[in-house]
Amino acid sequence: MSLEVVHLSKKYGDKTAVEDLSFSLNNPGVYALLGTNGAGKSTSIRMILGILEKDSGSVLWNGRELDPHKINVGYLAEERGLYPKYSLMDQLMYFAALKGMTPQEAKERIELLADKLEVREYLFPEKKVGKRVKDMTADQLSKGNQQKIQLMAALLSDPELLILDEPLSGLDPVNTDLFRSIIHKEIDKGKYIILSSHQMAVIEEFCEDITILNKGKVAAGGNLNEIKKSYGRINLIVKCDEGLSDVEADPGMTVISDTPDGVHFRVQTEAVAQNYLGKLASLGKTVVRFELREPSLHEIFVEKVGGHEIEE
Amino acid sequence: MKNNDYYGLGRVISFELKSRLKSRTFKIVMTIVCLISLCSMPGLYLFGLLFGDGADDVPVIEETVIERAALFNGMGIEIDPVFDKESIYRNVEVDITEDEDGSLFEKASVSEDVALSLWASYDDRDGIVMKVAASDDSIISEEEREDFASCLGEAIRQGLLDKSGITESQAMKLGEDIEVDVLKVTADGLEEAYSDTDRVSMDEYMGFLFAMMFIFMFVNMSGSSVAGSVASEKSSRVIEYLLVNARPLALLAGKIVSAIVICVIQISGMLACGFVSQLLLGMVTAGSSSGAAADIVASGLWAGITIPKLIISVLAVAAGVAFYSIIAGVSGASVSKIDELGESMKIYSAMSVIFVYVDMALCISMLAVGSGSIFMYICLFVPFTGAFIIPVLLLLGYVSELPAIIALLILIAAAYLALKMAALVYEAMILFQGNRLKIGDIVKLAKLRDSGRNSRRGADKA
Repeated sequence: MSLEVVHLSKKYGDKTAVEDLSFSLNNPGVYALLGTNGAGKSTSIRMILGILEKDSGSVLWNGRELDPHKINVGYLAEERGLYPKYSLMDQLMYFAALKGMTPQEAKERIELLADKLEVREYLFPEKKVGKRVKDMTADQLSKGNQQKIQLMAALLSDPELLILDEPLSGLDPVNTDLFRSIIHKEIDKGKYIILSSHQMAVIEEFCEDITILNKGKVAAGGNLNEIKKSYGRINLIVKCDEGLSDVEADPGMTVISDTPDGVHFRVQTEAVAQNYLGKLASLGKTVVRFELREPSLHEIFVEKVGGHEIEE
Repeated sequence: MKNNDYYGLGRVISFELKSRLKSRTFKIVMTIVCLISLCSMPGLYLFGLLFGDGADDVPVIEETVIERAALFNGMGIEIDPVFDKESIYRNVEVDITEDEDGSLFEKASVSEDVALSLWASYDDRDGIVMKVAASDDSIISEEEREDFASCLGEAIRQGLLDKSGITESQAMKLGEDIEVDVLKVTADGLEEAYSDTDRVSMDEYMGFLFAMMFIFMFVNMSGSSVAGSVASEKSSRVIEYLLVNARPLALLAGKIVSAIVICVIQISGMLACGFVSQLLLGMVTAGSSSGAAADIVASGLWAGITIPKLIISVLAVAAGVAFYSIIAGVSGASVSKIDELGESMKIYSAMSVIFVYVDMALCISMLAVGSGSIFMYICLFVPFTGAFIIPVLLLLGYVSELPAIIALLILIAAAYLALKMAALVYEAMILFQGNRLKIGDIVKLAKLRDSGRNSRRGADKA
């Protein structure tokens, strides 16, 4: 199975929302769509799913035009969509029915996911003696819990293609970890996942391939490691017991930040870093940390969309 | 099957129906409608008691002080009053004269305590009219004078009937309007053609109005609920999730079908409660002929209702609900927030009100000129007005089954076309978010969809 997005474009009047977006997901795993607010991530996702008409381009699943009504797709929208006044259970059963699940299958799956996402009490409220049990509605839940219910809706049919648009936005750290563990499990099951997020740590945790969008255009795209390698190992973090305040930076080195964890340098080449290490040793410094690495995704992202150059 | 434009329809209908039946709004509306219907007959009965012809508070006179009465006969025919055997006035001396010289009222001025002067005449509109007078110092009370005059009028009428040899019920029938049916005789048999001069009676006019208003109420409620549901899905963004799993046409059609079912349930509940109400009233007032209730219960309005007419009427109501709900659904789809719905529904509301007013104008015109006019047939066959009027005209007997069926088919066809158009607009509004659409764009979209569907079919076959 594979997903191919080819030359996808969309304009709203004179404004270009997405221009010539292409990427492919040939193996199970997670593909990340990154970008600032308004970069075109959600528009791209909607075009992929066919819920927004594209101006040009195509989306192919296994070589054929993707029809979400023919394949098992799970979708978690950026803007949470639940009926505010209808019972949560009724809504989930409805969504399951739309996926072609039987009521029995749906109920079992809802119970399983409700336990995983710790929302059982909202879907199966405890019966109290003498009191009528009323189904809970979406507007009675917090935003985070609504998000969990929506994730349940996306995972109900155990989809082969899962599209998550900003799945972690607005979640507290506990629920963020919960969502991450669920995404890990889906990856382990061999699913094809498209993920859009602003949280770079999450992207780096899950994704091998990414596309960075900036004002509708592709600013960078491809394998994350390859992108990082293209920059080279130019981030150096050094920490000495004696501190480094009395040591001048070598030519080709720029101080980025000085924190209790160490001094962060940008170096022009790895050789510059190695020379600096030698210099520290010659000065009798006790080096407790010397880390040379590629730029982080955050740094690459900021450089691509924020305009701050990372020297290569 | 999954390529079908109606993919997901059954599930959408099931969910929409279940949600509406569980909703507080449905329960409240159903309760109100059934209560009104249940109380309608007792209410009319009480209204008749309080404000009807028999509502005047006439005290029962058990003994009379009247001994003599002078009666001037202004009816133009010989009269011979016949009092009932049990009447308290049966022994009163009634002196009848056709003297016009006013001596009758001179007699009234004479101080005869127990004499009355009366004048009987006949009016085309009111029938027998009795005037009664007594002297100023007469001991006969006003109530007794009125009662005696009324009984004497009845006695005059009974005397006339006895003389003519016809019974009271025969007299009532003779008093009814004369109806003319023009018939054609063909080789196959007798073919009935309705006279085009049968005017709507006041009872039928009221029934016409009430029925039409009820249909308008249900059509409007259904349309508003469909529009609200569509707008709510767009506003809460749940539409995005739904579109991944169902086609826009299925989403819209599902709402409309469930609105029709809800409407039929509400109307059925209302009619059932009305029937129970009528039965109960019949049991309570058995033998009574009080006021409006008797008119309604015994009304010939319901005499012509048959099963085929009922079926056609129910289908017509369903088609009318569908037609207007589709238009309302498009109004709902044009907004992205629920707050904007009121504004977008203005055109729909204005349209439905205008067309129901046209139907009301037809009703008024039928009071004056009767049925069978071109205006009536225009209202019948044009879907916008026919939606409210087909069942009413059919059940009241102003059109036969054939024109009603033709009107129903036109309405169904109009609803189908409206659905196709609405689905395109609905799909375009959702799939082309942010772009202003013109009619040309919608036509292009329709062609694109057709060509896309054909190429998908070709790819599937390959």
